[in-house]
Amino acid sequence: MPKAVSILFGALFTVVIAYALGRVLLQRLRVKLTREEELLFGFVAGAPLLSLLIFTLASLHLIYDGVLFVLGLAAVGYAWKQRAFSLSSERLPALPRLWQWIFWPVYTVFAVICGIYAMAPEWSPDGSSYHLGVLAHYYRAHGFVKLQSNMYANLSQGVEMLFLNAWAYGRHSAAALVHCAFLLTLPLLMLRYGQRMAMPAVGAAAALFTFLCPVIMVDGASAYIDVAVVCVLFAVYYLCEIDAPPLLIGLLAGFCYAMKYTAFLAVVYVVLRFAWRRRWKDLAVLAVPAAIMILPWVARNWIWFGNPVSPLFNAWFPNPWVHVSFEQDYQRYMRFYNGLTSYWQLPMELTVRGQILGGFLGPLFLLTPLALLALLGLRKPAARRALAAAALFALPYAANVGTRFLIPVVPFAAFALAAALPGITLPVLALAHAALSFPDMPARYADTYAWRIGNIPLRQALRLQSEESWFRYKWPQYRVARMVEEKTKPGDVVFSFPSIAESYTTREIRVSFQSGPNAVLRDYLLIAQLSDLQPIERTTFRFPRQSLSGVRAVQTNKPAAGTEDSHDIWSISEFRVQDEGRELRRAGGWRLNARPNPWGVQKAFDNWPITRWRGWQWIEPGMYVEVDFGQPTMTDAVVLEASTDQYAVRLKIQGRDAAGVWKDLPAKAQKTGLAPPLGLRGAAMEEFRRAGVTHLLVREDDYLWEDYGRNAWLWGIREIGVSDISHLYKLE
Amino acid sequence: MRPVLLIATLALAGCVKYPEPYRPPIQRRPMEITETNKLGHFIYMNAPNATHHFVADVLVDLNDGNWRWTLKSPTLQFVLPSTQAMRLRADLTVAELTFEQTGPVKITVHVGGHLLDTIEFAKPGQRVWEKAVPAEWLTAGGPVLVRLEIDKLWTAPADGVKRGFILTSIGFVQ
Repeated sequence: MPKAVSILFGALFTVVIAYALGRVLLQRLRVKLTREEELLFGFVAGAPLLSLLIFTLASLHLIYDGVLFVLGLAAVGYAWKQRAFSLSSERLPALPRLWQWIFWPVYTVFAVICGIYAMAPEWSPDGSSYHLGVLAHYYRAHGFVKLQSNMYANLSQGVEMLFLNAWAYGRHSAAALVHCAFLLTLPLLMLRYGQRMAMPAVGAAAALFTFLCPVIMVDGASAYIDVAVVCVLFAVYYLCEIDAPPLLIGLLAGFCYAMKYTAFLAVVYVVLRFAWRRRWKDLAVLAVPAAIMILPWVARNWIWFGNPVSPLFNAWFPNPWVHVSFEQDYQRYMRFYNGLTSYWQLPMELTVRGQILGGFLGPLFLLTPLALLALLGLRKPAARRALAAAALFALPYAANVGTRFLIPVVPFAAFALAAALPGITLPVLALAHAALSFPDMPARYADTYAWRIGNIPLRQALRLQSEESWFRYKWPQYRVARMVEEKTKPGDVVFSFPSIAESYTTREIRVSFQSGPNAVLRDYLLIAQLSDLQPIERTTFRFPRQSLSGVRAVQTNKPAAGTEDSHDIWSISEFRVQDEGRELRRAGGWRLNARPNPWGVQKAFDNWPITRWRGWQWIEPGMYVEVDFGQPTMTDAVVLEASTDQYAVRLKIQGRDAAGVWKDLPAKAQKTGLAPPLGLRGAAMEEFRRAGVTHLLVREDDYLWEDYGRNAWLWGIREIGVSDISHLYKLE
Repeated sequence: MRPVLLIATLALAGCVKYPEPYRPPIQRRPMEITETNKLGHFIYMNAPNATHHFVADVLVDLNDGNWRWTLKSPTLQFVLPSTQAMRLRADLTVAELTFEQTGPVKITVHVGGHLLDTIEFAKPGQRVWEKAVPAEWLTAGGPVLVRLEIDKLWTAPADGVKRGFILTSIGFVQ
């Protein structure tokens, strides 16, 4: 089958299955919708059902092309047999003639552009790396696999389940087209909502305001999930507004969580809305389908990673897979992107420039403050409710100021804005927004590298030019991924500092920051190269000789929040216990423990300089590393060998007496230097081999990248490939 | 409301799964039960066995718990397990006190009789100097002599005591 056909089939078949399932559901629930609404809600309501079905198949490891095809056909056949496709005779009030002439031509032109872009080879950063990279692993394994080295696999993946169905037939572009289906549905939902609310011009204008945002178009035409999320989010809002059955509202609100954690606010919104009206019984009813959509993801993460909401809230649910320090650093970074020096830059970055924050909404949204006028328009309660929803869905933006994280707000803000502006201005603004967003008009005002649809790749979409030849020519990431594929064997594991286009290779890529175990590997590389990270300082704590059943080193400092000191991470390379100048042997009866990160405590007792216990969490008073001797033992000193990259750490020593009580020991600390160990590069690679890593991918902009080539023989690695600025080394 | 919060907190706390305490792991290299006085490849001046590495012109008094004065030609000996990819690293300081009298100084670095480098101090201060050492200048397993020589010594006006520079650490790294 020609590639273009398989892509279209994969996407359309997925959309049709969702539509069929949705129509059956609407039929069963006897939802009172007009013909126009049935067409849209059929797809939106069926998406969670299809997603849940694929989740079940993935759990049972039944993801096979044949199974997907037969089940898809069965779903469509069943809906047909049930006459679920028959449409209501009720119609919405007609759109005003002016808007018929504006909305449909503009919508159609941009829908075609987005469809072409989505069908072209997928090269979005997140789509080509983890959204599709993770599901490609699932597809090859015929179901879920516990990817301990990629925290993105721990996110809820409701949309990716839909992608998985499309992937089976058309791979990357089919998945992107499924997302595009949500992109094309969203403005139509907004249009119909306006008609329903007797505000057709407002609805039509808001639909175009939203759809034509450059960041929404490029996101929605890529294998991302944001636009799918906001589409369902708006559907939940719509259904609440028309007082749809609680079962349907609960299903879609729960699906919001299943698509993206932060969209959990849809559940909050629904709960608030029903609670406000004291509809407790309905609230209980809608909780059931919501829970059905949410719990599978919660359960999967709880069982596999000990954290129901992994990779978030790791301080609440400590686990070795995602470090608390990663989350702490990530939150800090996401509030200030590179290049963002002041929040006063946000308005222009979000609407016009677009490079720093990864996309822009278009200059039209500089008018957003006018939406507040909607609050004053007492005759426009629908606009006020939209604004309230916008405020609620904007909450996660405080944690990440990237433009994408405002997408859930856009439809609601756009509706309020359109309602606040004089009706006569709306057609002009909509057309101006369209003109300013048409590819590649933004080149005239936005930053050069602002994320957007910059061209219309028709030849590539139809595969008149092959994916291989296009990407080989234009996209270094693809060349790197293919180099990995060509130079390694099935089953090989590649460690890389930055992420790569993982979906274009079948190898497991362990990206340095994407999981706790990966961060530990990265630590080994840095220890081997940086003396500050090596165990070059020995602190001996001497105390009166006595019989103890255990000893502890306890961190006591609490640096002021926000200071650099407060970001220090405590570590110990070796924890030794002495008696009269002799080190006590680490007997089999000893038991070792630590808080935080008990999982890494053995690294402080292995007599191996490349490994170290780290708290992997910013220092707090009360953190400890302890040894339980198992029996009373005479001792007079604790010796800690550590790196010097922990300036704010302050320690005290505690001992456990015969009564089992921990008490502070009057220990006197003495610091002496330790020789920087030799052979650390080789030792680091030994740890890599123990972790199953077979290759190292180093870019010329990675930290200390030259050392790998210059000292390859010390590392015990051999360069086997170079692509652009990426070097692939094999561990010997 | 309070019981709900309490129950929720307890439920969450009960669900945090910490592992049982661990046994000591296999020791990756033999433990040295007693402190050793063997020669090593690198030495901090405050290390217990530092003085065993001194051959000449390093004063034994430890200052501020971590540095020592040298005289004209401090010489130290090291033992290396390998000769490949070795770099000599030294943490040196020319004190303001001595600099006032001597002015700019030069310190030449010799390894096994070979001149490795000349370090110039145009102003006082601390410097961590590091340079690769050719493998053929080194011997694995046997002592390797490192000599640093300062061109001008400081002489105390009061009693004629002489001082060279301050040494905090020196040795071979990879």
